Amino acid sequence: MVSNNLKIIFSGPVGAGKTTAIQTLSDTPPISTNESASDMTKKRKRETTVAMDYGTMNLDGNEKIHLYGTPGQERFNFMWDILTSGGLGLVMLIDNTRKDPIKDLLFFINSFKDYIDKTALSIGITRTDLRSYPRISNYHQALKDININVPVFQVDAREYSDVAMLVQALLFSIDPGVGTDNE
Amino acid sequence: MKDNTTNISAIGLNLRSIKTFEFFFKKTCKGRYVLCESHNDANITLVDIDVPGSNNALKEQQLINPKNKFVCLSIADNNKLNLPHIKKPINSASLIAILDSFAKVEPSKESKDIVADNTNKTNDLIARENSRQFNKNRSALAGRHIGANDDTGFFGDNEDISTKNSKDITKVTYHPKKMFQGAVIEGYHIAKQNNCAIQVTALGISIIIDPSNSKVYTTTPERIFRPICLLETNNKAQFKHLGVEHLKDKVSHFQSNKDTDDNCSDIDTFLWKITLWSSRGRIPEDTDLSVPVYLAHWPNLTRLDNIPHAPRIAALLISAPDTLCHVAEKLQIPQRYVFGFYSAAHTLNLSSNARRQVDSLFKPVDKPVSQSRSILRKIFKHITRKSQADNSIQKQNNAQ
Repeated sequence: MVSNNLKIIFSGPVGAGKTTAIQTLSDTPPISTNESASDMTKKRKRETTVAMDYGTMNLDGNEKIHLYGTPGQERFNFMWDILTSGGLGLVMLIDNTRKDPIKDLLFFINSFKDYIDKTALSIGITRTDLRSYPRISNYHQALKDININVPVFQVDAREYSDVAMLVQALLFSIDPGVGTDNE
Repeated sequence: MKDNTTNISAIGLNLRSIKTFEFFFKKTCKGRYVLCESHNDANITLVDIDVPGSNNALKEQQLINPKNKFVCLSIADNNKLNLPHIKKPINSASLIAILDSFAKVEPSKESKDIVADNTNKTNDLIARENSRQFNKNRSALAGRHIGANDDTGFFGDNEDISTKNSKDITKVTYHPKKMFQGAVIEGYHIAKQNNCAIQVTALGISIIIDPSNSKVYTTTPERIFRPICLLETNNKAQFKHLGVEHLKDKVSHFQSNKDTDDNCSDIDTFLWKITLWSSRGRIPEDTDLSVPVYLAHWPNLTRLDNIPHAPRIAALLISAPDTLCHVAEKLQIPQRYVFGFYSAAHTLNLSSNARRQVDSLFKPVDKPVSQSRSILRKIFKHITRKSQADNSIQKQNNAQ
């Protein structure tokens, strides 16, 4: 039986790159339940995740880490509670080209507040090549205002090194001693 | 005459340096020495040990060609390799003396110093660099382009020190204000204060800082920047305000330059990089190693040159201020990585000695080992392995 702790959750608004990030990281072909988008979602991407994305990282000793992506549409947020029970932590992706990305950030932090308090959080800002404002410093300021100090990086969800850094930062936020050789 | 020539190969020299040496050997040494492409054909090998990766290349060549003589060139006073050493700027008489002793020929009496002044040398090299045409046949002699994973160029090779020994502390400090790094930081402050672009010129290198978009423009390739960052500017940096039109012209000139891979970068990325090159695993002189340092927030690590263990150092310092040596001890890593990280974060105004009273009230607490450590470690290993594989694929693609 799979331990409930062996999962990492990816969350964020529509089109922020959750599906892509899981595809980038997963060792197995990811399962995605994308549907044709309708209403306002259509403006941002042709397909959207209505249930969840799923991928795995195959570790030594036949252990697996399950990667779950929450649907970005707010009306499916009931799924979030199901997905986030247990788990190592949350990787949040924010699309910098949306109307008010800082508002998105605060919305998602507030939605996952209990989960974040219990686990760890790292934040990736996507599409900064298309729109450079808000800057990373603006995100840090917004987080400082609500007394949160977590990793915030510019990322391209297609780049393994970027997504890997988000996960590494998450791991070290939980336990900086993870990388020590002995023990 | 040809029988009297001695073949010399090079490790870590770029094309400009090679051209300089070729000229020197041909004119000053009257053709007694000739640069050759293959180390196998050489009797003597010149090694620029300031270039990251050259130490490994040297070790490799010592194994492949054990009969070759090796001469180290470095900005440092000496080297730890127990090999003949010439300090930069290279004095031609010293170089000829060493080469002649190896080649067993009479020393030339007509030798003149080819390098007298850092600024002139840099100007000369840049002029050549900007006007040169790449010669593919010679490219094998050029210095290896080293990525961020090559430690020595970024972190030096200082051993861990004891904070009780003041001599040890001096070894691991440097003076950013006296160096090119100081000129860039001063230029950035001026640019921000006046809200206008500034051209900074020091040691023959020019960069433009545009505070409106936090960008730096330059035509100088990294391979020139790296050694320049180790030189002192002697307070001779110049700062010139640029109007909008002037800035446009300059930027378009810079961007049309094909000699550099990347002539525009974010100011933070640029400052981080030149700090690593300047500090080489050392800390600014005004850092108190006995006082904890804080980290205001995580650096944007995906867009900055990679420092080994950077996410771990950041995670630890974010949790509570701590002394740099204690961080190294806790993470079981060489101090030079922590010092390098601190110097770079300090330049970005993210980190400093914690001087507030409240900081001394909260002593860093050793967290209990996480229950998930075993699984976290497996994830970390998995990611590291895949990142390394990903990097080598990218390198192969770039090479093609």
